[in-house]
Amino acid sequence: MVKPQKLLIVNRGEIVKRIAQTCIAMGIEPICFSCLGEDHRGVMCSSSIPLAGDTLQETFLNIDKIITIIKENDIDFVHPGYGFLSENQEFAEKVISLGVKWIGPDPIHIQEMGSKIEAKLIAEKAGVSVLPWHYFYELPSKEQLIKDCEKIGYPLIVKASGGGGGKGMRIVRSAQDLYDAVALCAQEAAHSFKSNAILLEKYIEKPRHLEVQIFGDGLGNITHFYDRECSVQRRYQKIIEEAPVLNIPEEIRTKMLNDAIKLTSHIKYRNAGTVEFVYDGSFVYFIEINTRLQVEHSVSEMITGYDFVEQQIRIAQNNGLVSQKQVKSFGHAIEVRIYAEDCYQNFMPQSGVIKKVSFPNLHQVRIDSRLYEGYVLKSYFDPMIAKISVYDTCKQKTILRLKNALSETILLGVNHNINFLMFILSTNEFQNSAFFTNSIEKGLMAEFLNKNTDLAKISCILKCLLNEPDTDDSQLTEAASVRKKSLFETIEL
Amino acid sequence: MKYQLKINGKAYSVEKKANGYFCNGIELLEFNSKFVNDLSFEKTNTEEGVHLKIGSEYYFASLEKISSTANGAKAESGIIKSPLNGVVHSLECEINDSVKKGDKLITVEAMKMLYPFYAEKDGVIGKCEVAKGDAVKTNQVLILIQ
Repeated sequence: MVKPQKLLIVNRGEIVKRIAQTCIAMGIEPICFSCLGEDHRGVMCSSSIPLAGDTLQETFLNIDKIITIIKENDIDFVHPGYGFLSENQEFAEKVISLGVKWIGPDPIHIQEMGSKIEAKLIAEKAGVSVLPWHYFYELPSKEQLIKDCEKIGYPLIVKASGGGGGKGMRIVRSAQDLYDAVALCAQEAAHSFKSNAILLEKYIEKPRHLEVQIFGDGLGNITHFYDRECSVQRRYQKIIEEAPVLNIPEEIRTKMLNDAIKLTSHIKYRNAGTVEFVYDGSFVYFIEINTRLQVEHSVSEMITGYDFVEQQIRIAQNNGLVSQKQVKSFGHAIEVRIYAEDCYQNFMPQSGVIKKVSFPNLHQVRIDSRLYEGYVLKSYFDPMIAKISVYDTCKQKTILRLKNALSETILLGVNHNINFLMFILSTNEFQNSAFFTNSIEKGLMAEFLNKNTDLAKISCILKCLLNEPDTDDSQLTEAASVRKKSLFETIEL
Repeated sequence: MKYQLKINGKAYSVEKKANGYFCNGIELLEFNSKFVNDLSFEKTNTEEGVHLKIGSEYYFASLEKISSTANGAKAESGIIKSPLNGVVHSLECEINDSVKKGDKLITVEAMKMLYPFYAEKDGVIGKCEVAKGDAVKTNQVLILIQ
């Protein structure tokens, strides 16, 4: 009997679980780390390798330590997941130099696309539309900066080239505010992102965030797996994603798919990638390529029926790329990200212990999470603790199915955003696919916070807090049967 | 006895009288801890308060006694608190420094963002118990201007 090949997952939590499932289906042995209080139990791996340390820097971000482990453990494949080292060129290079199969793009593409500036220059070369923009490495004088930005106009957005997920971004509405914003951004860039480069570009007032999932074989052949919309964002981080994009002209979709292929085929991209665009209501512009499998890949898997981790492994094995005509899109899929955050206090990340957790087992509902009762949320981990992806034949049915799944979920012990997700799913903006990446800040948040709790619930909550003894259950049922529901529910404070 | 009840970030004033509890002046009827009409109900108490799920809505609530002596006369504007868990990136003032409204006092780094804080009034730094590189917690008082 041939010994199964081993795939090391350099990640944690539900990401390990996601990747391990595919490994098992392909007859590959999934291995993860035992690290920071977690191991292979509950994430479908057969074993785990100790990764010592108390911080992320000492563990999941420690390239040398991980490379040594790969060397010593007969690993055949390395999958970085998303986050951590998934877009680290140095790590990818070192894995490849060991002769181990790296499940990801070529290191050069990680580097080029990791720089928003480089990515835009390449896109322009490939003939793909980008927003009016400017960049610099050394902060110029105030006068020079204002002059350089004339071609962009206002408002414009300042970004640290190495940043992501909204980190280090600022909107500037007039020339007089430009210099201070840029200077602060440059300071953050130097401190946090190892690159001084600053990028300025036109700011779209009503942007929709659209993207195309692609896979490449590294030889210039690209297959797209259709488009997604990720316009539901808070603090520039996605919270709800769906596939396909609705409410856009077909020629815009075609242009977007073509541009994505044109760009990635131009650079001979290898493995999974996402080409991101912004749509301003009349035109789509390329923003960047994410050189990894993304959190929201599940919605594209649902509408195409493909397992994207399997596609990634097949490409790493040189087993070829699915041809474009084999990929069809059916129905509609939506994913929500459950974050441990206080949506009533500016989405502050929360830490604590999960006291009760239960996810529903429902038709067409996929849960990606590894929470359990007693799970300790640590402040240095990402606050995303679960995602729920739902599929149906059309968006309206998918929304109803998803709302049911969320209402059947129980998650207590830390604050999270489920109320907020339910609210967003009920808005006209979301249901009509007219949601902009700033819709939450521009009105919807205020509407959400404005909601009062009715008196009946207040009295119930108060009693729970006062910790006075409860009426026994039998009396309660009796009381409930004579209770007039309307008495409580019509009183508004 | 008066309380401040906070539910999902909103404050309600609660008063205990001889004939029962009143919330913003309205008497709370059918006062019990499992009243949910025909909705499902789950709860968990933590040190900070109570987490509940009533029907499909989640609630986090806490209760604080309001003492009758301190009538909220504290001037809040002189207190700088950390908005979230982070690290002190830079400190631009020392204890006993005179500061003017608008002076930059401290910068906290969290989630790879820098949050600068400015003096909200003129005064003297009365308290500053953090140093560059210190880890700070949500709502921790960083600086006090007197």
